[in-house]
This record gives sequence, C-alpha cells and structure tokens, in this order.
Amino acid sequence: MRITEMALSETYVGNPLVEKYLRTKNVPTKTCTGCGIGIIENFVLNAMLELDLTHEDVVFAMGVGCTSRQVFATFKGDNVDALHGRAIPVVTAMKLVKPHLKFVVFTGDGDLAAIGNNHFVHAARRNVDMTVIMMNNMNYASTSGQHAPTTPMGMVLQTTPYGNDEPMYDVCGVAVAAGGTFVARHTVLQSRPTINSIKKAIQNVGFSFIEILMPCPTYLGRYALKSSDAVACLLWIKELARTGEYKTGVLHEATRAEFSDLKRQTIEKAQAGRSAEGPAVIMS
Amino acid sequence: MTASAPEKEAKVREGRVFFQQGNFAIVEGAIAAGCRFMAGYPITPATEIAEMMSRRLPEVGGYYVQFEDELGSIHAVCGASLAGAKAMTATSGPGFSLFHDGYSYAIKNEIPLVVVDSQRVGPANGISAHIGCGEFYSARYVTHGGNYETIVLAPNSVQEAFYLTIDAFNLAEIFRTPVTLLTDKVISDMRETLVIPPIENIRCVNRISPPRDQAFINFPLGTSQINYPMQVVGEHCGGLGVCVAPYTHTPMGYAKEDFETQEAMSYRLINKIRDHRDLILRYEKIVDGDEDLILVSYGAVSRSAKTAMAQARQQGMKIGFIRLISLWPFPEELFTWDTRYLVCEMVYEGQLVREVERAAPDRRKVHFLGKSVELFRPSEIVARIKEVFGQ
Repeated sequence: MRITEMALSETYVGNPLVEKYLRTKNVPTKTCTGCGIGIIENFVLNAMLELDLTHEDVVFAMGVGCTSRQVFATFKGDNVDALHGRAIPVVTAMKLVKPHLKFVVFTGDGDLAAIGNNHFVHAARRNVDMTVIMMNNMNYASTSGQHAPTTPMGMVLQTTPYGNDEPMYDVCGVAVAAGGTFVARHTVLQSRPTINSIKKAIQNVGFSFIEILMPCPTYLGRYALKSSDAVACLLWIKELARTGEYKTGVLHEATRAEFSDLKRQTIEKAQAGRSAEGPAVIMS
Repeated sequence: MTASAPEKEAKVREGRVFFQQGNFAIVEGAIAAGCRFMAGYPITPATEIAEMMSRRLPEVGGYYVQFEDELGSIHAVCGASLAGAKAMTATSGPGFSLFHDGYSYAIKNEIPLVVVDSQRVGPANGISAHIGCGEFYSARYVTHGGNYETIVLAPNSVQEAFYLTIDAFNLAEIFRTPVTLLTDKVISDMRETLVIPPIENIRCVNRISPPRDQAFINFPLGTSQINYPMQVVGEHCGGLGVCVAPYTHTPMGYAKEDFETQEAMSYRLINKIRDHRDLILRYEKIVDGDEDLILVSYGAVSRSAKTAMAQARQQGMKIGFIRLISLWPFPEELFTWDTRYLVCEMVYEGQLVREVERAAPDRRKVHFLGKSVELFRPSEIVARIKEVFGQ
C-alpha cells in the first residue's frame, strides 16, 4: 500500500499504540523519509502506555515547524497547536485552569530555542508542571534548511553559505540554569533510555525538558552532511553521542515547589486574609 | 444592548459607591463578569489593572500571572480561555503591538477573551503618561492576514468603563472572539463616581460546552451562528478532544491549507460579526435634526466635545454631538445625514475622520481637529467650529 492510500484508510494499523492513542485517520503523517519525528512520537506513546495513561490524562501542545506540523492532530484527546514559539505560555495558563492534567509540549529547536526562548526560560524558572520535548534537527527544516541557534559552528546551510559563524546554543544547560527540575538529552537511537526519561519527565511534578537529537536527511543531511541518506544521518548522530561531543543521559534532577501549587497557595492566602482586611467589593 | 450609558446609569442607583479610577472600574467589571485569569505586564497607564487584579483575582479564586512579555501574556490568555476560564490582559500601545501575534490566533481559533488597551501618545514609547488615541485603526486591523472583523468598545467615563468591561466579556462569549476595550490614559487614570450594583443585577454570558463523548463540530464554517458551544481542553466534550491549529482549519480544527477551507473559514470569521452587528452597536447621540454641524468623537475626547457643544449652543450655534461607544464594526448608519461633521481626535494625522469621510454623503463637509499629549479644551473645539463656519 502506498503512503497516501494508508493515510486515507480508516483501518490502518501499523502499531497497537496507533489504535490506542492516535486518530487513525490522521496517520501516517507526511514526514520525509528518514525523519526522526515519528520515532520520537512513538517513544512518547510507549512511555504513556507504560505509565498507564490514556488520551484523557494528557494534553498535547505544539508550536510551529516540522515537529508541530507532523504531530498535530495525530493524538486522540486535546491537540493545542500554538503560534511559533508560544506553546509554553499557552500551556502555563492551561495548567492553572486544569491542574489535574498532564501537559506534553512537542517543539523543535527553532521553535523553542530561538523564537520561544524567553517563554522557555521563564517556564523553567516558574517550574510549571509540563514536559517539553525538543526535537532537535539542528536546522529550520520546515522552511527548507536555514541555520538555527542549535546548528554547530562551521556547518553550511541555506543561510550560512560560508559556514555557520555563530556558536551553538546549549539548551539543556539553560534549562538547568533557569530552574528546570528534570533535564535529559538523548538521540533517536537510544530508544529505551529515551522512553525512561520521558516517563520520568511526565511523572515529575515540575518543568521537565528533554532534548532529542534526530536526523533530518532532507535538509541537514543534504546540505551539511552532503548526503540525504537516512542511515548516514543516523550514523553521524550515533558518532556525536559516542564521542561525547553530544552528551546524552539524564543531566539534572531536582525537587522544587511547582508553579500551579504555589498559585493555589496564593489563593488560600488571599481568601484567608479576606475577612480580616475586607475586599474592595464583595462578590459571590 | 444598545442602551446608552445614561440610561444604564439610571437603572442602577443602588449599589456600592466609590470615588475611583477607570482602571479600578475595569478590574471590578472584569471580576463581576466572571473573569478568573489575567496575564499581565506592567505598562503605563494600564499598570493599575495588573496591580489590582493581582490582589482581587486570588480573592475570588482566580489567577494573576505576570508574564515575561506581552507575547507571553496574550498567548497565556488564549490558553486559559481554551481551558474554560474567562480571561483578559491589559496594556498600552507598545504592548498592544506585541499582542498582534496572539490576537490573530484568538480570532482564527474563535477564542473568547478580552484585551484592554489604554492608549497613550505614540509612535514607539511616545510619552508614557499622556493621552493620545492612535489605535483606532490598529484595534480594527489588529493583526496581519485580513479576513476577519473585530469588536472594539470605547468608554468615556469610569462608570461606563465598568459596564463596557462586562459587555466586552459577554460579547466575547456570544461571538467566540477576542474583544478590545479601547480606553485611554485619561479614562484609565481619572477618578470619578462609580456605582457597583449588586452582583445579582449583573447579566453574565457564560461558556456553553458541547456534551461529553458526542461528535461535535467545533468550528461551524459556512455559518454565521453565534452563541455557539465551544470545546474545552481537558473536558473531552464533543468526542475526541479539542484541535486548535495555527493554520487555516477545517470544521474539526484540523489544519488544511486549501482554497475552499480558507474561504469557508474567512466568511465564518467575517459574517458572524457582520450579521449580528446590532448586538454590538453602541453610541450616544444628541441630534435634534436642525444642526449645522455635528461633533464626532470617542473616549475621553468626547467629554471635551460635549462641553464644547453646550458652549456653542449657548452662543446660538446649532451643534449636534455623536459619540461612538462601539468603534468597530464601524457604525456607518450614524453618518447618513448630509450635514457638516467635525471629528475631534487625539492624533494629528486623523484616523476616525477617515471613516467618517467614507460614511458621510459629502466628504467635503467632514472636518478635522487633531491634538496630542493633552486633552482638548472646549474653547479650542468651539474656535474650530467657528473656523469651519467661516470657511
């Protein structure tokens, strides 16, 4: 069966997780051959299955870019796709209004580390209970291969014809420094450690951040690695992790008061003080 | 809903009486309307709204969050509303420019919310603590892309700021769209009598959610239906759950970038407001039918204009008065009479005057008086009236 036929078929079953968690009409998506997004989505579904979570327990949020386009509306349950870089403030507010829910944010490196960086840093500082999964393909692939803050120095892409002259952004380092309470970094080749990290991140009551390096044969492969072969990209990623140039594993774990809990404490404080001081206007 | 402010004031004489700021009235109006989430960012002259909300919202079980910037604020308000809370944010011109990002998201995805813009002198930071009303058009064309209509309300007193804030929340729910309360430095900061009626006398429109686990079309494209239910995040109402996309969407909320979907979605956003503009239209009009000139204004300027009208009438001139309370959709029907119009505005280039020129039968009879930084003295307006008559 061709991909397009599969996409139109309602009875497509490629994986038992699909039946349980996905809107079968909307999968498979239109990712390029060799893209890592599907692999990472699979990790998340596995983590949910192992944690015994249903689609009613988790709200999925996204931004703009390859990541968001491919995962949006694939999940049963709530799919909130925000504007470029803005998934985190949207989720911050939703967490206050619906504190019993778990929130998973799918974002790309451009979406989070560039345009959404300010929100990311402050959500980590506030320790808002959400799991942010940054799928790092080291470039803006949705717009066909421009350099991102996560692009290694010297790399040739569509906007760095003479080689990237900007230093690379250590996003995990910033997540730790800003106050995130679970920070991990993996590659798509490390399935079990990544699933374990996603489970820990979802269970952590606070701001969890996982960076997952994934292949982009279509743009990063073609322009920077001079090969759009998916396996070549994966081998390059594997080598980065093996040599320690790209440090993987759980980088930081901590326990700290969570944002929505603190906000509810504020409400209790305000309501306790209400009788003593008296509000400006009494409302029911 | 088209009752003018004085009629409304007459209805409520009982209630608690305050001598307070416009910003206070906006805060209490929001709380009375059921607002339980505010994302703020300090900016003169809207700062007091953030300050007072940070105290009042927790008292009523709501949340105030001060975001890292106005971009964070407007998107957080979208998130809170998607999750079922009535939500608002408040700013002035420089922050309003940053709202354009999230405002488009809220318009497209039919998310009810309220934005308060207390106008000050611009462009850029201008003069922070002085009046200027340069967001007449930018409140209408609040974001890129076109294909939408907006609802904008403008109070001219502290009491009216209270009622219009409640109206703004109600209209947002009725139309499932963001509503801008376009006030200005003078109304925000000045103090006058405010009567807050008992809560049971205030009519609030609350969110309607579709039933749980039943297939539901969240976006009725191709219709102009209002009072339409809205899927809420986390409540699994309407079957599979909410889908909200940044791209052009299908009735189910799925992203679909094609001509037919774009056309259906655009006409939904435009017609739901155009077809029910009578619910939005609000104005104050003092016209007897024999006037030689009608003063046109909105917001704080209308207070100078009204006094100027009284002074000119005392001097024997036949002067009328039109004050817009709802600015957008623009009330063309107020300007069908073929007479002279003098539009007074707190900008030098003239914005409202262009719309009046468009609506009036003879644009050569539409005149303009512009100023910035300081409100008109009534004598300045009377002098301009004489000048127009001398022409």
